[in-house]
Amino acid sequence: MFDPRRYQDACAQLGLGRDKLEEMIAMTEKQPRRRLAHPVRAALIAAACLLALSLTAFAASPAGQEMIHTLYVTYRVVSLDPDAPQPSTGTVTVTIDPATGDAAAQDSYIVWHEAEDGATPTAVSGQTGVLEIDSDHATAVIQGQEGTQVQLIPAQTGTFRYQAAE
Amino acid sequence: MTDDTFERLARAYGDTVFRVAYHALGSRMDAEDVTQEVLLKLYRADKPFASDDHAKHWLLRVTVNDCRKLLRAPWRGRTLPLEDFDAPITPPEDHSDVLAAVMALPPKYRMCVYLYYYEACSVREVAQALHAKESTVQTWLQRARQLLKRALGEEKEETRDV
Repeated sequence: MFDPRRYQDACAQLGLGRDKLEEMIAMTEKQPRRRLAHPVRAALIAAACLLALSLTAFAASPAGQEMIHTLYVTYRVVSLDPDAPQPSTGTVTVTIDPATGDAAAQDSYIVWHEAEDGATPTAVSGQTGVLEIDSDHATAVIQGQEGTQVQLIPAQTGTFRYQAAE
Repeated sequence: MTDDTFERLARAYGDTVFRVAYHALGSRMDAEDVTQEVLLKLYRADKPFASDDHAKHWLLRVTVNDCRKLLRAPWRGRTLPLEDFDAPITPPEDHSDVLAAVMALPPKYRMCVYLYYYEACSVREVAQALHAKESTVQTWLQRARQLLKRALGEEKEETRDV
């Protein structure tokens, strides 16, 4: 037989416990009082979707591809072993970053460019941070200081290489 | 709502919210999660409550809604919190049979029994909290009593046989 009083006694002993409840109250009070209203949240989500679509469209455009290519090559040049070949077409930005280990210890670097056939040197021109350019040998000496950025523009498709200057 | 009001209501009705959630879900971990969620909703509620009773009924409705949402979740039924194997709720020994019998009922009957017998809600208040008709609540209560009578009667028979 169901005895409501016994059931009430059993329920009275069911609970979170004082410590747990205080912990929950404290946790709740750490939360911000107001959440964004539904319309604002929906607008933000829509804006994020629109931004993602725009970025995708930009990435597919020639300008976007060039930008991505530049970023990619910059990252690769900084991150990889100086002796490793670096792919490049068009404009390449070389960034000296002390986080890459020994790179920061050097005062300068020699950067050169090889055409695809490996034999024909290609012309290199540079802007800020270029100490010396040897157009005949398609080389440039660039500063090895932190934050130096140099734009090297090869005349044709090829491969960039660089190493610490002696 | 001020922090003081929130703390007072949370201390007064935190266990009530937990017990409703536990009756609905049958799991301590889930009940704690729902309690935390309901407290957060109380904290963020910007409407003033006319009285503590008003706040209590608001909390009951919000708790029931949150439990329903959790019960409807597609992953529920296929998973069981690992903690439930380690830390089940152990009711006091002398009343474990009656609580176990209630917890063995279907969730809607459990919540009905709890709100009616423990929270002393009227049939109308239970119906409001559970979004059901008063006649439906009366039927649920009647069926729950029959099931409990059968379950507790059989238990007594078994005890006598031993």
